[in-house]
Amino acid sequence: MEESKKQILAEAGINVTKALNSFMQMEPMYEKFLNKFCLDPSFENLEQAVEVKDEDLAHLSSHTLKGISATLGMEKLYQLLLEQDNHFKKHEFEAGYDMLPQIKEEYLKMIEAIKK
Amino acid sequence: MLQNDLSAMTLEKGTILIVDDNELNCEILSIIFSVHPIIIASNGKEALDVIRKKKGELDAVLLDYLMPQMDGLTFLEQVKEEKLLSRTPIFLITSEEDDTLAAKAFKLGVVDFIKRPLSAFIVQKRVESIIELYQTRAILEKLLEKETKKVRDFGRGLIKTIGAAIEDRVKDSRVHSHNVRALSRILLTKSEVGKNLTHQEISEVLEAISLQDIGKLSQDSILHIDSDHPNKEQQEEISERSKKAIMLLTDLQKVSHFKPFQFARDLAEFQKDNMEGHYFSEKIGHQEIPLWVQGVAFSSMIDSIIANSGKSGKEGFSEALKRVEEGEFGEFNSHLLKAVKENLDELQAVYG
Repeated sequence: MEESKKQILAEAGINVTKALNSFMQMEPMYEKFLNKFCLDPSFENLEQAVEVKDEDLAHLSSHTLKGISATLGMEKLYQLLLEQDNHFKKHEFEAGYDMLPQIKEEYLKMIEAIKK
Repeated sequence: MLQNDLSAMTLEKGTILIVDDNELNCEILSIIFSVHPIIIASNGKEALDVIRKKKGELDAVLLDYLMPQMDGLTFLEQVKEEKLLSRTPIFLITSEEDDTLAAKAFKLGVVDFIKRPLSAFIVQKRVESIIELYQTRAILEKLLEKETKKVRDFGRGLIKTIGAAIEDRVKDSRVHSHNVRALSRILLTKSEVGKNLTHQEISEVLEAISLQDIGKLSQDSILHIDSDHPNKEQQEEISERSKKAIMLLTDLQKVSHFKPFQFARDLAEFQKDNMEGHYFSEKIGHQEIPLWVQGVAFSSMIDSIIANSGKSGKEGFSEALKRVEEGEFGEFNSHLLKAVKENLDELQAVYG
């Protein structure tokens, strides 16, 4: 992975060094999964679930996205999803749904950084 | 020798089952554990199907918590209920921070709780160490089983040799032991007389039958008793012999912890108690005496009565039983007599 790419990711708030620990320091594999993140349906599922207030799907999608963002070093996105996941666990579904705009903003920031 | 056996057994890389609905997580774990064959299940239900088919081949299960259809905890409950994975470690790998979840998972049998994001090196070491521990334990259990069998076989050989030496000392003793064993086998395996013994213990009791007379080996001469009601001198001799047997069998049991010696000692104790009362005293019906001891003692008594009566075959058996029922030899445990009646045909068949 080029240094300039790492720089872009770091500026977007992605902890590349920490994330590489999950990938046994294999940068090409990390890069591959960053690209896969852009195609992963979890965020789309979350948006749809919030729209139709599907509690189970919303919780599952949020939880999955939380795990992926943690693994990929997306720390802010992870924190937001952690908070949302906790709301869902406590059955505070409206509070969880209300977090979607913030999550979307951070998610799109990640996509933009990866695609740059 | 044990060390040689242990070194000869190599630790092979078995399959790792990854249970996670997320492709990214599965792929990362597959790479971390690429030296193992990998099977991926995307939820608890799929994982259960894999386990039911391949449980003997699995080295470990790496389990996510939240999954569609069946989550990690429900999967663990099912595994526990069906006792599917007692010899395979299960790791819960999750981004959950909740300690209550960890506590529940440990209670349901996971061996480790690994939090995401993973550090590949650490997760690899933690999982591989525990896999190695489980494999080593399995190998040691197999070796222990092998060594235990050797000791048991040696013990059996020893008992047979001692038994043969005892039987050789008294005329017709071999036939008597054979008959007592046959009668006891029926009572112990086919009635409640053997209800407190396992299948293995019943075999050991049968092996122990000749041993109760081990005291005969230390006697210069042995009185031949051909009466159903031995006189005082005969009673004293049997009592002395039983005491010697108890001493010898206690020592043998102490050094070997081999159950047939304990069983033979129980029989000798009973014989001694009897001789301090009557030959076939009412003590045989005493509730405190284990039913299996009474069953073996009863078998021995019946065979002696038949031998002393000079009558053979089914007729001899029926007559001996009639005398018992008429009370000639005192009171008997009702459960024992019930067991005899229920298995009458088979018991008679021992005598042709």
